[in-house]
Amino acid sequence: MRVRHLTKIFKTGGLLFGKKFRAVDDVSFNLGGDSSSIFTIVGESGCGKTTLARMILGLIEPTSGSIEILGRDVARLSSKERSHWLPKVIQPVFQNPFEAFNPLRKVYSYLLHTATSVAGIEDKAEAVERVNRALEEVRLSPEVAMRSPYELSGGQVQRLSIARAIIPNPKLIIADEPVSMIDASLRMGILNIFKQLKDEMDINFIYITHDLSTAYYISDLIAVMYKGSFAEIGQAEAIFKEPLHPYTQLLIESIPRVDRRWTGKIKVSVTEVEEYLLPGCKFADRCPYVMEICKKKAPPLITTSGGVRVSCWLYNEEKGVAKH
Amino acid sequence: MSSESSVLECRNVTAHYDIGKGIRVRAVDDVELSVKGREILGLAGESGCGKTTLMRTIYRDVSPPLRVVSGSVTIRVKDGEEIDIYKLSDAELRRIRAKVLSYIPQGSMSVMNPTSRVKHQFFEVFRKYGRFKKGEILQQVKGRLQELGLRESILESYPHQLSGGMRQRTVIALATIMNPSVVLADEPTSALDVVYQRGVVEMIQNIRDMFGTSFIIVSHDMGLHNQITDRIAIMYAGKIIEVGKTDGIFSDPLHPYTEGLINSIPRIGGSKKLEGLSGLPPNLANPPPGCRFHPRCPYRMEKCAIEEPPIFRIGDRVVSCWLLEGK
Repeated sequence: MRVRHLTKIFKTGGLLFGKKFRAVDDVSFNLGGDSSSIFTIVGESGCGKTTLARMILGLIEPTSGSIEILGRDVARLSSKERSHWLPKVIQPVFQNPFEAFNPLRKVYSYLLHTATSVAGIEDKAEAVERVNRALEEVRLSPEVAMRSPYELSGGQVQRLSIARAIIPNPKLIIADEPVSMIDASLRMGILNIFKQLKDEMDINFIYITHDLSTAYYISDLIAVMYKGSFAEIGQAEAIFKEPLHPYTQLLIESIPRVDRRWTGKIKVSVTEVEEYLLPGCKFADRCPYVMEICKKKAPPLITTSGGVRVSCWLYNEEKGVAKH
Repeated sequence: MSSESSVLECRNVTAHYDIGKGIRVRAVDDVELSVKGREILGLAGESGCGKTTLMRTIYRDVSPPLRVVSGSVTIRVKDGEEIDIYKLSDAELRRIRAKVLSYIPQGSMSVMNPTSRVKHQFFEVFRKYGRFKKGEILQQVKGRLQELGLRESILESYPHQLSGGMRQRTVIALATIMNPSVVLADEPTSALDVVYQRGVVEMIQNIRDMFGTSFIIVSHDMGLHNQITDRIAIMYAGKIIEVGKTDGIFSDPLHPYTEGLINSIPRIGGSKKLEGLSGLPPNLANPPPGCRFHPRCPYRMEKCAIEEPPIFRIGDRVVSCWLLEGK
């Protein structure tokens, strides 16, 4: 998958005096290749991560930029390909698993329907086998799926929605906050399923979250998103070990960790100003290292010697280290 | 009160939801809990374990189907007098609230009156206690905001003009303006981004340091408890299963459920595969016999399924688990 210069502008307010709001601003990345990976997009609420996911899923149209999946431009797909081919390749897992299922219907019949209509399996026995195999992958017995969603716990229903997502054998699963409504003691079980599906079924994941601890736990690659753009993107280990962007540093220092206490004080911005409209770096007014140039010109995303790409004037292409 | 230093004490508190057809949900079952002066006590546990019901019971915010079956909640007011909250008349209860005991329910920041400026929301708090002069109150409120590091300008704002973190801090300022002895805060940071969470935590600690307020912080987030609390009580299926100093709980959890909760949180820099806990919390309308955690417990013994474990005291730790018998 290749994403190039993806941008989504929402217009708010009136027709004449309305304001433009860049929810996603010039985002590019590659995913997949030789081996599958889990790519995590972390950011605070309203940073544009869900809008980005919805564009990739084809649920909303980008304003500009392109999404290429298996060499095909999503914008150029016919409506038939969009409804038949795309769901075989990309599947979503949403935050609230109960919304994924019809509350009046037994889960199993819905899964069977997914096997026949989305995955296109015509033979009944084969469809049943595919559903049972998917349930096995998420470690649920078919008996659990015979019930209605309201008879099940959030964790079970989320496992079922993962089972539903893997029935068509997709290449990519986009999981938007899949464990934020699940109790902490059950979260790891679900995240472990993602890892296992990546290794065993060769499925790529885009994991969207605000939770940096779980991001650290499952990611191969991480992008830190701030106000519509990637502040920093690279190997998860590298970013957690040595965060370059001041925003990434702030985020990592703010994690309420079980093995360490916060020290010192932090400066947090008081009100939400319309930073989406400012010309320079969107983090400038919160940044402790802010310089003149930051307020005037948006920093480009440069590749550092460590392989991490960062969008910050503190760093330069050659050294990949702080200029000062 | 058994302990001189406690400002609030729950003794044998049991509360049920009677939801008809003879179904009784035992949401709070024989809970013993105390909060000391200037203490931040954490109440941890997963959704549905009874944390919020316990808070409502302490605040006496009890209406059907919730029913308090037994127990007492006593609070010590400023002059040292002890009050049993369940022996007060409605009028006395109203007087106690906000001035002695304050409650910040989950999601309070989203239910601030959207059509009224923040300063009017402060006036509302004072109006409950009779006549007041707006000018004087405004001076008092401004002074308080300054002490808490909040800008005066928020008083003229409407709630929607403030960011989530700011709104939550405003709610805490509102709940503590009368200098209550104890504040119950239910998930005060769960709707906030990490960076703002830290701001709220710092504010709660400042209020404790400056005014000697005690807090009970309800949260499912063990990371948050580690940052803010002095002691933690862990609740499981309506029962308090372990209470201890925060450092001790994290370095040496004694109850297997506590251990499971702490081990479910990934460590940054760690590479261990985490399993979390297997199974699901029990249905509180029909809890399992013996220890309520035994169906999920990796160390369960025969006894655990038959007999409910008593409370064992080990140093300053309180644990309800048969593994600790005779230790």
